[in-house]
Amino acid sequence: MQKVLSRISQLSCFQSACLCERTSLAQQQIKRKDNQFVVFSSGQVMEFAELIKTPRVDGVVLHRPFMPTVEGTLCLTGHHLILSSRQDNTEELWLLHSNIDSIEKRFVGSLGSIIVKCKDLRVIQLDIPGMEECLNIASSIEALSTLDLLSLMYPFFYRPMFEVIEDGWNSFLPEDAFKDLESMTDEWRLSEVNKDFSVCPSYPPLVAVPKYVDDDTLRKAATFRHGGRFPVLSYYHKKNGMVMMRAGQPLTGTNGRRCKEDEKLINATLRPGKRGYIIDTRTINVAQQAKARGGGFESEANYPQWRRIHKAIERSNILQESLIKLVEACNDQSHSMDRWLSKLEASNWQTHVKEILTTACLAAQCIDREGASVLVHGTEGTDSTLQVTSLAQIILDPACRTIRGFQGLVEREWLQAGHPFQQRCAQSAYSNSKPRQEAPSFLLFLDCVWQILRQFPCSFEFSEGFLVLVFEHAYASQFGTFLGNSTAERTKLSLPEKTVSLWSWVNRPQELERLTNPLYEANSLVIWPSVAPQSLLLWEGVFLRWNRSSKCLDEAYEEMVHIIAYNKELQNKVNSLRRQLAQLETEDPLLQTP
Amino acid sequence: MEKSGSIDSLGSKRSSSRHPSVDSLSSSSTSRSDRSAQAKPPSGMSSDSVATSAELSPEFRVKPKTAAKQVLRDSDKEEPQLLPNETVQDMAQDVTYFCPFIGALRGTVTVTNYRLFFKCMDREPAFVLDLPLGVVSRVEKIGSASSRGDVSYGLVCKDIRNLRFAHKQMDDTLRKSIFEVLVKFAFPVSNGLPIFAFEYGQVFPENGWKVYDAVSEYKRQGIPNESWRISKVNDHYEVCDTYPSTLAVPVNIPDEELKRVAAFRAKGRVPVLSWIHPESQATVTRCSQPMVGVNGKRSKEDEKYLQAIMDANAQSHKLFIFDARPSVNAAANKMKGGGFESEDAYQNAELVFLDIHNIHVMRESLRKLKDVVYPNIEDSHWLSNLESTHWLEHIKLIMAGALRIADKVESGKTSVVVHCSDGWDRTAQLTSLAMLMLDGYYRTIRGFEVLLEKEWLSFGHRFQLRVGHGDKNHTDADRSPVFIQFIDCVWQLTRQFPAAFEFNEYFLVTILDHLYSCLFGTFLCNSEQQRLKEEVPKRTVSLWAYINSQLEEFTNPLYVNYSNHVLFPVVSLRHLELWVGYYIRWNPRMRPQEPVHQRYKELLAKRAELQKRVDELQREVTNRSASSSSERAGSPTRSITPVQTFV
Repeated sequence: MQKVLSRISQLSCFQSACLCERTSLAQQQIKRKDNQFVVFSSGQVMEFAELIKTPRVDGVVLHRPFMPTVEGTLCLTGHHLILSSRQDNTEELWLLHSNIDSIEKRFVGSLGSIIVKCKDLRVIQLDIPGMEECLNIASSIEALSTLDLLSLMYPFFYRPMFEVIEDGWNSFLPEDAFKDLESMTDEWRLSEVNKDFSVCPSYPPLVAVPKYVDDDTLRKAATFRHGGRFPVLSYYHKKNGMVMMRAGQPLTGTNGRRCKEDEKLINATLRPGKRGYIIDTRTINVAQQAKARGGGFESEANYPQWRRIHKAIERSNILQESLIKLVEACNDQSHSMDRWLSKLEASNWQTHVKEILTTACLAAQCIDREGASVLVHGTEGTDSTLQVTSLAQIILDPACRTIRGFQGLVEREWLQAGHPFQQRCAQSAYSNSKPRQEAPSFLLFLDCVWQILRQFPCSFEFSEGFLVLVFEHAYASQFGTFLGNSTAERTKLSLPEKTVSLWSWVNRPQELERLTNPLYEANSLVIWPSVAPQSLLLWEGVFLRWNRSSKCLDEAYEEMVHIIAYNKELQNKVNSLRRQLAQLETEDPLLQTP
Repeated sequence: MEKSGSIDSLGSKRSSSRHPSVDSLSSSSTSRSDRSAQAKPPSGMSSDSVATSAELSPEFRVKPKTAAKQVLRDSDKEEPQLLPNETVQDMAQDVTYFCPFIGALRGTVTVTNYRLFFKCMDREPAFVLDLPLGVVSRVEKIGSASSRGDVSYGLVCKDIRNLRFAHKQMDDTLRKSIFEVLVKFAFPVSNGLPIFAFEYGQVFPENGWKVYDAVSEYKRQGIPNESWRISKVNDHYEVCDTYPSTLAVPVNIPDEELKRVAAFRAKGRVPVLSWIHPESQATVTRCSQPMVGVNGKRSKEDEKYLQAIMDANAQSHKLFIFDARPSVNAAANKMKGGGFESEDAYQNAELVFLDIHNIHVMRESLRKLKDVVYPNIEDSHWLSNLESTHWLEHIKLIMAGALRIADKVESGKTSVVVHCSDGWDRTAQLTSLAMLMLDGYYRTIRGFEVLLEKEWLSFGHRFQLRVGHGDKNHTDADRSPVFIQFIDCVWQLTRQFPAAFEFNEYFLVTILDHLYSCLFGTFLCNSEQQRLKEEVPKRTVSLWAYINSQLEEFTNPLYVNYSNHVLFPVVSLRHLELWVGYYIRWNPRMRPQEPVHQRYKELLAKRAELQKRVDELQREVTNRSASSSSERAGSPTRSITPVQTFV
């Protein structure tokens, strides 16, 4: 039994949410798999079993875009929807329930169809004979894909079948990041003020703050910032010692409350006589309105050394609406597609991309060109703020453009910085339910990175595939990395102990090789992306991925990889021949000497 | 002493043999700018500057990599480097060029019988505008002399640019303004002057006029065969003066009957073979509309002829007639004596309208596109403004039409007849695109040249009228961007199939640049007959001579031989994109930040260099080990196997 289980884990790890090509998986094995969680997850047995009304249906037909239809047996397990033709050399579908965004049922006579819409934006159709079976399957999928309890999620059941060379949970600890900082400057210290998450529940236990600001000041400043998110270090620009900080909005309220400690804290980051910039990601109007709800912005009077700039990055619910409209337009199958560009424009997605990139460029400009430090915040400081601080680092810091550096960036600026992944990624573009706190903040960040990658195709160590992979795993995964909303929640759930990190899987030679950009050449310069609308394209690799066949693009890519690999081979050849020649040259006179 | 000396020399010997490798490695991997400068052909050949006569400004220099190229090229020359037989006609100091991206620039203008050359030395590097006069569509004096005594001129260009210049009012009223001189040479045809292509005296290793030979191209396709023959009925262009002299027609239709068919087709453009499927024998044939008229005239000969085309393909008992026009327009043509084939008269034929609009609609669409993209782009409504030009929609319809044709021939194994009204605009777009999808040969550089020579030039696409070479009559209703649309469609195909084409984007841009430049004779005149009469092949250089002399510039490194593949592109608007690299290339902010094609080129150059070095070293090692004593027979040199090339 253990063997079968591990087999499942192995399979799912390769293709968590994708179709996997498998040769032999007989019906027998599927049966055994159905039983798996009886042994496997004894605690939750009843709950899963209750939800699965029909565990197995034969004669199900799977339709997918650009692929032949497959007829086979459909099985529901606690975490997967599996469709197997029970024949050799055919593909099987393994779909995580958590990847299912919504389903639709259709009936023609006694033949029912379930249209499954996934969070990775794929849409598939299952034709199921028998009305009752179809209804049962549909309600089972609905129940299984909307389980709220985190501890029932697949990452807690998944066991890796690959060798973990390096535990990703320990790869990007704040204390290690701080060591790098220490090697550049001694103006900062690592504070443990939040070690029990009491000062700021969404911050990690360790944060970098100005050296001469004590923990008491931090505590007081935290009471003045939204969600306790007092200003902390986000990025140190080695070239000129300027910094980028991030925080929640100041709680000035309508009365114009001020907080000396907050002022002291951020002023401590300024060099004598220097001014800094506060980038508020909201428009001045939105920021004004926030005062009525206790929030606000830094007034000139109280922060005379800072110049405040307002930008216009939209709030979560508007971004979510935009995503839904965009995906609707992308999937519109009607032939009257002559309004495509209008629809694309009306979704506003590209406008959001442009706005976020513009703000990130502004932050980077302040630091690199103006030689000034920057404080970034929006309202909560967990969405637009992080988009800006993380993208500014992509622009400024070549290290963030490597595979490992990018992982570090996602860890620091998104996971540890308390972006509520659980809430934001609970649903994607197909959700029927009323949006609660869903928002594609992280997807927009990845889209922006893709835009920069497209404009600087040689400056990134990773390829587009890596960004797509991170997107998929943020929404549904066998790994624990994107579970929970904050470090506090992750600690409480013991994720590092109970689940596998995505990075453990990625950081193995075979995966790294697959995700590496063959054109990469380390570029130590700051890279300034163009934000003109004509320079920004729709990210086809995500939004039109299931509407096109990528065969020809893949072939061109392979050709490029071939050329590069061949060049390497030739270079080795040249080197070895040269060595031989040198050897022959030195040996000749030696032979003649005696 | 001696010993240490020998060690030294040994050491230096070693390092000298090691150094080059380090150098070559670093030069190829780090300093791109140097390499790109070297890769450029010597600047004696000017087409290089034609294609890249972009306004370059240091302000927009993002990375030194892209800028270094400029510094080298522009050097410090005051005047342009003249081509053979290019002569300076006039020069003027203190002319202001109002660059829409940088602002006003003051410099010197030189007008030759080929180009306008503006240079501003105040900037570092110097600003250069190098414009072949053939590109100019219109020169207009803007307003009268202003109070400051400036006279202003606007140049409307055929390549999506408008340029504005100004200079001081001449004190000497007798002296002509430099722009009046420019008008004379920009419109040589209107002024009784020769087009520069007839004077240009550059010699290239290859005679580009030999690239296409109709008989050998038909032979390549397997014609003549049992169903198709080569006819010389049009040898003296008497049957159809806009057709080539060599035609491929069904075997069982004698020349006399062909003449009668010609009488029933507009301008005598009878259905003739464009392409034949090597296996199924399904064919693509092209013609003009039948002269049906309001009374529904019929022609027994024409009906028999189309039947013969159908019978030539044993695989199918059907024939598809693709009429490129919208059905309404096709019907309206009956009033003018034209029309379309009725399915009653043509049994077994199915008529399909492809809804592609006429040259006037296309001209208007491109004019709108120019308004949207040049000089400045309104950011807020970019996509809906782009949509309102309908340009991409037209591109989509043309590609969709070509796709249907290719699909009928390939998947349906059915022969098709393609026509529009006259059969030289939309028909040329459709047949050539379908052939590009069907036949990998046309996707090579040489094959593409053959395709253009055949489907566009020999079959009488009226380049002279559509482009208006050297003609000042810019409002001529015969002008239309039909050929640009075709090249745009080709570019869309290269985007969807990046490994299927031997040529790169620069090749396509170069063709379009020389569509206007009038440097080469290729796109002059309206038909094969006219070109022969004007002795164009004798008196001018072909564009292909220039292109084939430096193929490495135009080669797509990712090309893998797909010759047996048929390309079926996705023609949904979602998968089409505005060709920014052509339409918006004058806007400095649209320049690629990291030109990836440059990197590809470097990789190929490096591969060639390494391959050469491996061969050299291999030889040297073999020589040496052969000459040394037999004691070292087992030395590793012997065990080396040659590296296999898998590309």
